[in-house]
Amino acid sequence: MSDAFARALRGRRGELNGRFDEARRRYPALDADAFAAFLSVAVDPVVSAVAALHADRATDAAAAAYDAAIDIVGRQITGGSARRALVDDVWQRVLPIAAAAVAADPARVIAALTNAAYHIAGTVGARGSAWMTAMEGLAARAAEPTQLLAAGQVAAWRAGLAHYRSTALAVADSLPEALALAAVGAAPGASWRDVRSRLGESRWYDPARSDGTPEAPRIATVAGAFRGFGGPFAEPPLVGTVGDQFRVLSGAEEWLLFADAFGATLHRAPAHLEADAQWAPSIPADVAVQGGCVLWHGQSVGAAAWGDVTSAAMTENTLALTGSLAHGVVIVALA
Amino acid sequence: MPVFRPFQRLSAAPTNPHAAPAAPRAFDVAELYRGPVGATPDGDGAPSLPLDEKLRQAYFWIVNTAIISPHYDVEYNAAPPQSYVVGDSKARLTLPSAQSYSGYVLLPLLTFATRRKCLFVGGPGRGKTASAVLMGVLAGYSVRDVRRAMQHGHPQLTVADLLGMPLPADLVNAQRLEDIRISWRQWLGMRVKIVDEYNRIPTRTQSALLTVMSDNYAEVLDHIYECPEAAWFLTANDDQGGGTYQVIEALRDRIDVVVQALAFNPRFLSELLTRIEARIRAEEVVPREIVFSEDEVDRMQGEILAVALPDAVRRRLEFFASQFELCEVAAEQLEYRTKDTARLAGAEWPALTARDTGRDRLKDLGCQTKNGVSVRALMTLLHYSKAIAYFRGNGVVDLEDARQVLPFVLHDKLVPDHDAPFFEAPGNAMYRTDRIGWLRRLFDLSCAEYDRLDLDRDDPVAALAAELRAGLEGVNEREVRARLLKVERLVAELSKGRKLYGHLYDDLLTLKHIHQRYTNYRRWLETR
Repeated sequence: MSDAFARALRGRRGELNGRFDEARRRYPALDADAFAAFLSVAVDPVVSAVAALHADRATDAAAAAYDAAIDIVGRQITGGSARRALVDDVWQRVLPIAAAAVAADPARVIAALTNAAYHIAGTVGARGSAWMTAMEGLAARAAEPTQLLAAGQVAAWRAGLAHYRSTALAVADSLPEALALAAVGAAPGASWRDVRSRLGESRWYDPARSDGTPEAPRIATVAGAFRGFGGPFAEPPLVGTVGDQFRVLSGAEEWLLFADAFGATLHRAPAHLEADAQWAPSIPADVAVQGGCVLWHGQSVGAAAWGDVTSAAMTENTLALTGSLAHGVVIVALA
Repeated sequence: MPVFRPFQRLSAAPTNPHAAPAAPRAFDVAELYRGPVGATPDGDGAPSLPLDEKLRQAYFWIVNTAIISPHYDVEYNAAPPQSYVVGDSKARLTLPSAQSYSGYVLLPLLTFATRRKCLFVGGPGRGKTASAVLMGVLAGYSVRDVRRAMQHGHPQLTVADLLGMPLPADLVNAQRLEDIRISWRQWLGMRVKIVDEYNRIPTRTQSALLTVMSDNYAEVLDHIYECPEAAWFLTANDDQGGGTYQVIEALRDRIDVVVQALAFNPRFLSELLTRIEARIRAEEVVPREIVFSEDEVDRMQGEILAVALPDAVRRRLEFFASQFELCEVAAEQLEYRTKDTARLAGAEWPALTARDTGRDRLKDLGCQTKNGVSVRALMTLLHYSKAIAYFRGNGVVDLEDARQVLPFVLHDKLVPDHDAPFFEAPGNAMYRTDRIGWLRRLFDLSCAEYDRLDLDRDDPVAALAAELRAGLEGVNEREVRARLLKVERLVAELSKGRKLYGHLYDDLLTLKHIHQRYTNYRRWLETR
């Protein structure tokens, strides 16, 4: 254990022990050994990093980290499963690099990034490791807590949380240009104005692709799978739209579908919403099916073992299809 | 140094989940940072809670962390509750099947939300003053300010002590009263006012307090201080007006609700031990998330008043209130046959009740009380019914809401006649000491009678009143005569061979009112 952390613990020993005792009443499964291990492996590096930058803030950082560790270990969201592994990762890989932001507002930064890791790891299709890598880079750039957390939100969207697209873009607009460009993965010398404009025009534009945006139409991704294989759908789904929002119907269950260049996510739709989704078994006018291929304006989107097309829906730049032999929704990028 | 948060943990929203229709879901990236660790503070875009949810979070924080009141005397049930009989006295323990509350914490909180007046009663050391201080902290005042602004009742408390005094230099030099400046007491400007042991205040000073409580202004030497609307919290060890000085009736009547401090359950001694060991005082660790700004309380008041009171609930409250005022032997004219008439005349109560009117004195709910329900009390009842419905997250008052707050509202307002036959009946003797239980029982009996009379479906007086309320625009003379005839027939029918009970008395006066309105209108039509 580092000297800084040891000092912080010694100086407030009675109080911290009291917190642990009180926490045991809230979290009966709070294990002292697991807690001690987490303090040593995860909390200590964070406190050391803060102490190296701002020795006078190490104690506050230690106390905030200690409280967060109680929640993490008490709720058993550390160690073991992949979800918990991402929480461990954020403590060991990101928080030490973000020492400046942690020193400025330890309780807020620690809690926010831990919760973000927890959410990302729990979102099907999200790429936790990609977010972690992005955060390592962003944490080194953003010393101010609000900016770091905003950049983290943008990075989370890019890591596959497609449902956050519109609000993440709004958050990115609030960042300094260099940080915004880094958060969306654009080259450092790019113009945020240009990048932002293209992101607004097409959900299939990825600023990080150095080889440019692939030609359209193309199959971007397949959203969902059979429930027996870990997906959400018990029955082959149908896709429709309400306004410009994709809706997916599987049996009696309804889902909202979000998709863009960075991923696709499905969310249970509230039960009472207006049942005016267009569950169209017919193909939109711009789309044709020939010999097992789906054509858009005469261009093939590729063959796939979907069986007969059972439903199709279009929003701007995006075509969604379902087939009689598939339990996923094929997302086709049209731009 | 971060504040010790464990005592500041708030219940996770929603604190009273409803199977309400879900709004279309919006996705906000701000959700990313909410989760199992800590409470993300302001600044990350988290939307603020609805005020009713904030009020509930305040309630649960107080009851779980601050006051430790593991009582559920305000009981709600979603399904028939489990009920057990204990002991020779057949004490009943009910396990409510829906979210239920401690009246000792809930009623003061509703008082805070509605800016009305609450009296805490109970033995010493039961948390009355501490509860009042908490309400002050919830309003955003520091603990120090709340304590210093608290008015402590004692026999030497003067009007100047309470309200303020003229500046001595001005007293000497001024030629006119208007030139005298007054140094007003700071507490007059606060939105939460606390008077500790109000029944130890001398009578003369009580009168000055009454002016502030009732009319919201203080006066010294013709100078007026207009006080802002405030929630009042008063404490007394004895709610019977005892203490050092008798509390003047007008002052007692200004109190909206009375809550009794219930006994501390020693099973929760460990909570007190933790507090002692951690040197925590609840009022010093109130989470800032449950502190209400002045604007928030203003908005909350508006939202509470917007809660609907259905006609069905209102009618039962009307029926209940109509039981008590009638005193058949008090006067000749019907309008004056009230208990108030007898009281003003100084009539001996036993002499009044001894005179037989033919009514069933056990069945007649009015026989149980020495007075009726005042307009002020009725308005308070309506207000608190809305407040508790709002607190529970409902947009409409349920009958149970009214039933639960009624005993606290009428605690000091409806005076029981302990010599009434009701209290002599087997099993009812305890209601002589159990004011809350008696009032709730009274309301239940009233509702049972309401059901027996089937007034929800067959209420000709209500129908005629509704017809009148619809207006007289376009009603011709012929129609007016027909309506007058309807009223007269109904009066004849109601008068025939019936005992005059309270609700019938009010119905007859209502019919007289309707008849008078049509009579005046017909006369106007004739002279047009």
